[in-house]
Amino acid sequence: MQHRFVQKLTALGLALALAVSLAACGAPAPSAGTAEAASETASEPAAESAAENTTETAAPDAALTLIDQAGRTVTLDAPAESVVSCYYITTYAVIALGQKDKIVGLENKADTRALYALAAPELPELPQVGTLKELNVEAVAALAPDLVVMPKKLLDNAQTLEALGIPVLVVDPETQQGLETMLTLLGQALGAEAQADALLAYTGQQLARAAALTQDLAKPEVCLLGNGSYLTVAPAGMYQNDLIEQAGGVNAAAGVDDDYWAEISYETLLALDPDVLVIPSGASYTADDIRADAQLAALTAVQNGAVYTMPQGLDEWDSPTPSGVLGVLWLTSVLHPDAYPFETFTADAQEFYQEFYGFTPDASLITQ
Amino acid sequence: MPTRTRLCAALALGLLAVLAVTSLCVGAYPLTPGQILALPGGGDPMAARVFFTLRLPRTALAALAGLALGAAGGVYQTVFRNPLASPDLTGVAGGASLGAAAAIVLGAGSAWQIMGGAFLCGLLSLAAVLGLVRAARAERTAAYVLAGILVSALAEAGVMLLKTLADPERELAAIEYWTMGSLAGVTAGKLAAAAPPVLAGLVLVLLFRRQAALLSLGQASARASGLEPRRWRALLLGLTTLMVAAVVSVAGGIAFVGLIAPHIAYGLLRRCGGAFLPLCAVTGADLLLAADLLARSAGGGAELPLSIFTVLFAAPVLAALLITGGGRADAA
Repeated sequence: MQHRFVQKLTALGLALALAVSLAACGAPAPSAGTAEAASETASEPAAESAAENTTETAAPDAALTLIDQAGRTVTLDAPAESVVSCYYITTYAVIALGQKDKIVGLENKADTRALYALAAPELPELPQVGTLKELNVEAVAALAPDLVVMPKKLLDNAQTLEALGIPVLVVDPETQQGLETMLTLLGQALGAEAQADALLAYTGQQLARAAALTQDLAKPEVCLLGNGSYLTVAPAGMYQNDLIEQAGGVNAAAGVDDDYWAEISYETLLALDPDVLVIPSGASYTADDIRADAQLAALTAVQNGAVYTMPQGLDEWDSPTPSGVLGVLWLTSVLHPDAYPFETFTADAQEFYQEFYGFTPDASLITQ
Repeated sequence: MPTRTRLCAALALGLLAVLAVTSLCVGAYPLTPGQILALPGGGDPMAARVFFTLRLPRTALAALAGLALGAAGGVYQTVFRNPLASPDLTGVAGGASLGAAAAIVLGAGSAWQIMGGAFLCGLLSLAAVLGLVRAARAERTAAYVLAGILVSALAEAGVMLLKTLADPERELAAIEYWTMGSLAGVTAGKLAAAAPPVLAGLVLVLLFRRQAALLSLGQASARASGLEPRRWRALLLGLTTLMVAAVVSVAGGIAFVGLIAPHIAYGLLRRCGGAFLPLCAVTGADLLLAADLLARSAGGGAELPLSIFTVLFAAPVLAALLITGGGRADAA
């Protein structure tokens, strides 16, 4: 008797559990679905929503509608006067566009970037709003900016900020093309189109110049090493691969099967046997560490003394930053000193920083 | 209700209220208690949006996740009659992490897909642990712990493999940070996705607390009281796994709350029946709210992973248990 009762109770419990979880599944699902649908449609008929947005605003001429690099439609009433930048590359870009005074908040660890100390020493004093791993959305909201600029990695936070009524421009400066699109978008969003055009024109001219200088020269094999360890290389899919090719070199690690910084063994590095090793600006090791490593003594690059370090304490030329073209020029002068002497490069780099960042770096900062 | 129970309940609930109110008032956006009180009658629209889409959902989810993990730990320890049974050590949390990571790498977009992956793998892990214990023909603490370690290690290896397969630009950071637990990304939408399964599981588990207590007396005693032990065990474990999976899918892996909340509750109540499960739940909520408060305020603007603090809370409790010999016998 009692056994029956318990069986019934069990069945009831199970049914109740199912019903509650089903009801639970049913209730919020439509809203999640519509939110997704809304975000999907937002990217596709962009022109349509752009038209809607412009008709809605009181002053249609002042309204600005952009499609960002995540395919989102971003509408601003006017070019932004205050901006929060969540990534050092976007902050560099705002400075290079001559708009550093508009920055009201930026990424964490700004005090470790040499370029801020040189070009905008006031920036590290501003509120810092988080890292690429975790953005402090409340801290951003507290600054009440006209615009937030963030890389694709932080995309999830874009929706949250939008719900708070703060416009977000998502950018993706991971390739040369992506970098150029980012600069164009930022120029529009900040009302600095002329500066963006000037920077893009300079970049185009210098890339063409490097290509012309090196087109008939032998192309040395280069390995661009990672920041954390010299047993990390940039394979074919990365920006750094293009940098090597634009500078008249061949990426020795192009065949390594990976699409991001690839960890390799001593044996692999010895088998690749590049003619030149390049250490990036932010490396936690030095050329002396490589020269002192007995395992690597047989490398052609080590034997020929061809281990170079990108300047440290100035900028990140190995990354897709607004000054990335200087990375190409630096490597061109390293690989082909007869065609493009290092002194010429130093003068070119100083001119670049004076033009776009408003300071002239000391020649002692520009090293090999 | 005995005086001791009443006292413990008042203490845990009072602490919960204090922590929840503090949690509502602390954050990077400057919101004074006066501003918050003015919100229902209008107030600053930006303050209202920050409060209702970020601050309130975060506090609610911290409390809810703590309730769920605490209750889940209480159920595991009661049903398995084992003071070390918890979502962490039975492999459920590890399996749920693997399921959620797999869902992220496979391109799951919605919270429901991630939760589904977490639930499925959490259940599979629990089944694997129970299968191993059964095959060992020894329902001793050591068998559970060893089986749990084995399954957790396998799940961890799976997560490591997924990390190497993940797209470093987006998915890797998501998996990486999320394995340490965080409520920083909680919004009203995520709360709405996680709350129904957690609440459903929680309410049913608390309703069935008498059956859980009967199961702790052993199969024979349970049968004598008219319970079908296997069925009730499966129901209770299914419900707790659902709760844990829902929590893991929005907050990531939160270590040890499910293990220590029942020990603290037992230390206060000195018995396992009656108010034990509700007290486990409230204790879990206290722990998680406190950990989340520290996670958002101790880093000077940066968010810290939750598990740093839950492990810090758990270490002295576990050390005390170790030194004093556990305080309660295996057969709870």
